[in-house]
Amino acid sequence: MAEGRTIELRVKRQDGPGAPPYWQSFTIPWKPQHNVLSALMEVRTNPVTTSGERVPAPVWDASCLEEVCGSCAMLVNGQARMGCTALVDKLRQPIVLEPMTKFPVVRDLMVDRSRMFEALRRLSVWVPLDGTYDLGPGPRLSPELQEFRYALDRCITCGCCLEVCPQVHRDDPPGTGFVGAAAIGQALLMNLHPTGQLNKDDRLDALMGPGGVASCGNAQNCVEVCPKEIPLTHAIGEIGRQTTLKWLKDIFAR
Amino acid sequence: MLATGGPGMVFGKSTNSVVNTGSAAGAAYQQGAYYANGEFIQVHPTAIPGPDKLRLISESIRGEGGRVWVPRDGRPWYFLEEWYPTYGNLVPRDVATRAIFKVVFEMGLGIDGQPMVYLDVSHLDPAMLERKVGGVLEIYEKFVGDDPKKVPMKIFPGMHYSMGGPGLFAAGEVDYQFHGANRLGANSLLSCLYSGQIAGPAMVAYAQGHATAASDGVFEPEVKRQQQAYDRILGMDGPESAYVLAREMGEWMTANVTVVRDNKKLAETDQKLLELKDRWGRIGISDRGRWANHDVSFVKQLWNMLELARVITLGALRRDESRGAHYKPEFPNRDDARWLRTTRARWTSDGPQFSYEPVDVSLIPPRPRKYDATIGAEARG
Repeated sequence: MAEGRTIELRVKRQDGPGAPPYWQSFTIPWKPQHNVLSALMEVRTNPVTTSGERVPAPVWDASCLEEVCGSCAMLVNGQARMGCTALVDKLRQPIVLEPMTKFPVVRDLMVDRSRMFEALRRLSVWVPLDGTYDLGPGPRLSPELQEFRYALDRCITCGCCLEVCPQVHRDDPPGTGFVGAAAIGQALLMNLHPTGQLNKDDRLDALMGPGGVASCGNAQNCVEVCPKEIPLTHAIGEIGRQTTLKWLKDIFAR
Repeated sequence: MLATGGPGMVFGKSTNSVVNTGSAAGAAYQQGAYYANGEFIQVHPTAIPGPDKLRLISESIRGEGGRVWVPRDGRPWYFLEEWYPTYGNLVPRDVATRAIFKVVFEMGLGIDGQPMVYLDVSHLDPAMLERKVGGVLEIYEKFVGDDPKKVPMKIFPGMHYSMGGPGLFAAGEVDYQFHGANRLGANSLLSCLYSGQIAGPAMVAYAQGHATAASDGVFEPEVKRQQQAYDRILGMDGPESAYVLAREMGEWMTANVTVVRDNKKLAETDQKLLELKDRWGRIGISDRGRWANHDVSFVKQLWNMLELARVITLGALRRDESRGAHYKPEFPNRDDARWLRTTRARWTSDGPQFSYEPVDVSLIPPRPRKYDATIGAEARG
């Protein structure tokens, strides 16, 4: 490598699902304003390891590079975070990059986050509309409620909160594993909307089932790691309250 | 139906996501779809320059009172407010962009010798900013490290939006239905929501109107053709890097086919694109695997991007006038008699073939577009 300041990346690689992982190091010249992804892009233009071996370029997932799409979550020096906002000058070198561990590896740093979308489906995180007639203007929300819902709405489904959750395991059975903090936050987002409230009970039923809100172990790692600073523990608490009320209501309605 | 976004990556760095290569639109064009108005490329005045992309600082910042200035003689000079007293910092994107270019490149002003100007909200109420535009300011703080509520943001124009697109069912930036030579702020939602609402059902109706479905005779040869193309790329072992070629394309396109366009440079850019197409054949890929191989997809996309880049460049070369986002100092005026036309490019093996069709202006007659003091006030009143 040429003289001068450099950036060293240590990348945990895996050729495909089930393949054994291995490590490779890459060194590129330092430039200002690099983040982890722009450094990987630099590696990609000439994928030669620090020891001089030409190798297939590392594979990672990314789209917006603005922490809005949620696709570049990975472990950066052991921390679950978005690659795009991991600024190189603020990181200890060598910068160690690994795929998240709670999701199946597709290849290298790219993981399959289907589990998160499956959780949204399990909790019916939507408002059903059949589109056959004009519903007219939507109901009014107070500015306070708008602001709280906006905080929940910032979720980018990146998976960091699942990665750090002790209740989430890579081999959880599909459909019954803990839905995770992100999906609970989204269920609350819908339950707090006057139109979304019409289907509140569906969501609460699912949240009272296997892998629902009772699976939360209250470790509170989720709220620490969330890149969008979503009040996740608050959301879990509020959903806990709603499910308790629903449980009592169900008893007396019986 | 295409819903594949814009072609930002043709310009290397833009405000688009990295998946917005324009490859799908370029493929549709090569398969016979007209590509319309390719030369109309909007540059947004306020983006954060970065090594990997240009991050948009939305108009809402100026909407809430943000001011653009540059240091001159040791004092802030609010050049947009001085030049356009009626519209001030809220002049349209192309006007603000050209003003920033003038200040930086013609007048030699900037920030510490760098091609940047300030976008300043530090005089506004921090609580209001947090409540109304917190998300936008947070992007700046995360990537630059400064708090815009305290320190003026450093910004520069960046490639933002293509008003062109292929002539088939499309929704979002890839459509070319509405925007003519210049998209107005927030009208990307028109393309996204309204096009989607219209094009989806229209496509269903179109399919139902065709009694017979495409037969296997259509799909099988195409699958075979695509497999052969994939295998060919998988075997490429030349000295060129697709990512280096893409970077060169982006640098040329950004320098010559964005804000200020000059016929000589446009012609040179097309020559460069032909050179890059030639070098494309000598690409070597690093990855020979058949699983999640990003190299192969990128090489494939790069060819489609180069085809589209020629449509954009040659369309701009032919259009000898200035209109909306398309600005040629050699031809500074809008020429409705000759150029109030939609550009249509059709793919041929010898390069794009251009034709033009009239624009329907029966409801609103065109009028001069002016944002300086007197006429601006008149237009507003």
